[in-house]
Amino acid sequence: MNGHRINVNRQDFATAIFLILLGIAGFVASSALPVGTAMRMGGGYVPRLLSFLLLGFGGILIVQSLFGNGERVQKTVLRPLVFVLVVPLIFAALIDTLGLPLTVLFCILAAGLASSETRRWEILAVGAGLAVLTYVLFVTALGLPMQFGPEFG
Amino acid sequence: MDILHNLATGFSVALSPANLFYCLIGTLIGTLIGVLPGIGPIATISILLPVTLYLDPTSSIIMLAGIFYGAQYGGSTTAILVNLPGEAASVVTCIDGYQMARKGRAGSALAVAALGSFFAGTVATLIIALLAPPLSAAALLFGPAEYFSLMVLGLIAAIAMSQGRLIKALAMLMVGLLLGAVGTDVDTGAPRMTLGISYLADGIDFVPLVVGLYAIPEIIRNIEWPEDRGVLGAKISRLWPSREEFLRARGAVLRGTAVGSVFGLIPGGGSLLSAFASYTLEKRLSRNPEEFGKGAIEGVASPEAANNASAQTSFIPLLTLGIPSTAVMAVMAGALTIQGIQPGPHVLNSRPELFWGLIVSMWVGNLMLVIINLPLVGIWVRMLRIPYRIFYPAILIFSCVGVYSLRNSYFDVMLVALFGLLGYCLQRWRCDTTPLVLAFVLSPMLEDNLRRAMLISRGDPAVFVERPLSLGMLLVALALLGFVLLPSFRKRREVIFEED
Repeated sequence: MNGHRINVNRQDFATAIFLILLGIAGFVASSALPVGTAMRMGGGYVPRLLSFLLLGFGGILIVQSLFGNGERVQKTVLRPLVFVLVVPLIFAALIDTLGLPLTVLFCILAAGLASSETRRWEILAVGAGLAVLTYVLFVTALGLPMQFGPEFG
Repeated sequence: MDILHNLATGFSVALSPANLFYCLIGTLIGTLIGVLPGIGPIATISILLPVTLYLDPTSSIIMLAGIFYGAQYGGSTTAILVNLPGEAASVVTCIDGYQMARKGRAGSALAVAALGSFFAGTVATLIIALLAPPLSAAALLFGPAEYFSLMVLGLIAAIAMSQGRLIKALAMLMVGLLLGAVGTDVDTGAPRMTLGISYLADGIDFVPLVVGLYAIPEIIRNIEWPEDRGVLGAKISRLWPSREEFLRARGAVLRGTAVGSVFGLIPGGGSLLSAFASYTLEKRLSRNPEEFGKGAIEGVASPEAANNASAQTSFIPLLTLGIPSTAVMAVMAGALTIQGIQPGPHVLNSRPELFWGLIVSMWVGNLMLVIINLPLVGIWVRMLRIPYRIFYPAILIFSCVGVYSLRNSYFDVMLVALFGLLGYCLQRWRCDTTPLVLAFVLSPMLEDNLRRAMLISRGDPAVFVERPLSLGMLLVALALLGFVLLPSFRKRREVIFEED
């Protein structure tokens, strides 16, 4: 394990920032909703209560993280993270225009970039195989309304 | 006898050709993913969930349940033969199972694991059949206040059992509740917190959330840290344990079954904890504890029985109270909801064929698993030779297509990426995602019951402490929280999860 010691507990700090951001987002998103009364709660009552609690937990964690002793932190390996996460995004971007088989092929090629062990011809074969397999399974067998090829206009 | 009548109903459902087929498919998939490290039952069930929409509700639940307990069996195979936990709960089996294999007793270990699991599964099936009707009947008497307190208790208990620090677990709970509140306000029907995105009008869909939180980070982690998959060269000579081994394993299986059955009922208990607990118990009870870690058969028999028993009894809280006790059960709750069945005390009366069919199918599935696992063990081990570089693109693409197929929404697929990133971060920040998922599932019910209880009590929160049953449950929840904060318990809890 490669890591190093630090004085701030970075994991707790990051968690706290996330909680605070989410709490603020919760407040903003529910700001237009009626709070109502304790007896007759409006749609905004519970969301705002939760957002408030999130801010509270975030605040406590931030303070704790500053006094916490550092923990070993593994370095993030960017390549798998980026290329695995990019696959659903590519899928979402292409599926409605390119149709299922082509989208699958592009996604698999992107997925292949995530690992350093990927071999060129192998990933092409896997992509082609999965393009056929998913089409047969989801469209032919299960009858999902997905288009086959690209559609323009 | 009522129970015989119920079981007869169950047999007639579970033994129908279609359901036998789906049970077999489920247990086969379960065994496969159990054998293969790098994909667990939560990810698999959530990826396959969209496909089961096309099945009859009973068949789909039978199949999904098969994946879950099948994985418990398959995980032990890899644990024993390769010293790799194919499934999280088999970490414990590795300790003594692999040592047995190295001493040429792989066959005995596999047989004891499979037969012990089968015995545990049988007992757990009977426990469900006995316990479910009275629990359901009791839950039907609950008012909104009791239901609210019960859910609070369930969530707090899950936190007490979860990994990591208490404050983070509590925070994850709030995150889950908030995400679950997105969608349409139950009272007015007005959209809330949808950020103006029409795709969010019905709330955040459960499937992209779970696929993102579980499947995606699992893949990233496995590419980051490739595991060594060397297969044990030794041949499995004989599959049957010797008389002495059999006698030693017998008591361990009985105790493991008892421990596992109880742990399955506790929210957050889960199969991993039950396996740890039963292993510790065996070691403490044993006359020769020094054998543990060097190939003690009790160290295989007991945790294997325990994880299978708990896998099955964990269905009880879901099916009788409507409260999922583990992340897998939360996914099951999602599967039922998608099929239009609200998990809870009504299931037993309104869908007896589903309830009893599922229970009996678990027993049938266990029987199938003994056959699938023992004679065919060689085939499963060969599966380990499939390199991960071929395997992970397939998992990824099935996640995407499956999520998309739910309602042909590209937005849901984008959510997979978003929650995938969140899941990856939470893992690095050492935040357990189980409380998040449980809270997400329970959020609408929790809020609905809170609002109803407050309306009935005219805004007086005392309603939760004035009703004795509700007060009792809240007190237990409070006691659990206090217990977790005790320094001695906290230390122990950290030790247990350190070994993970």
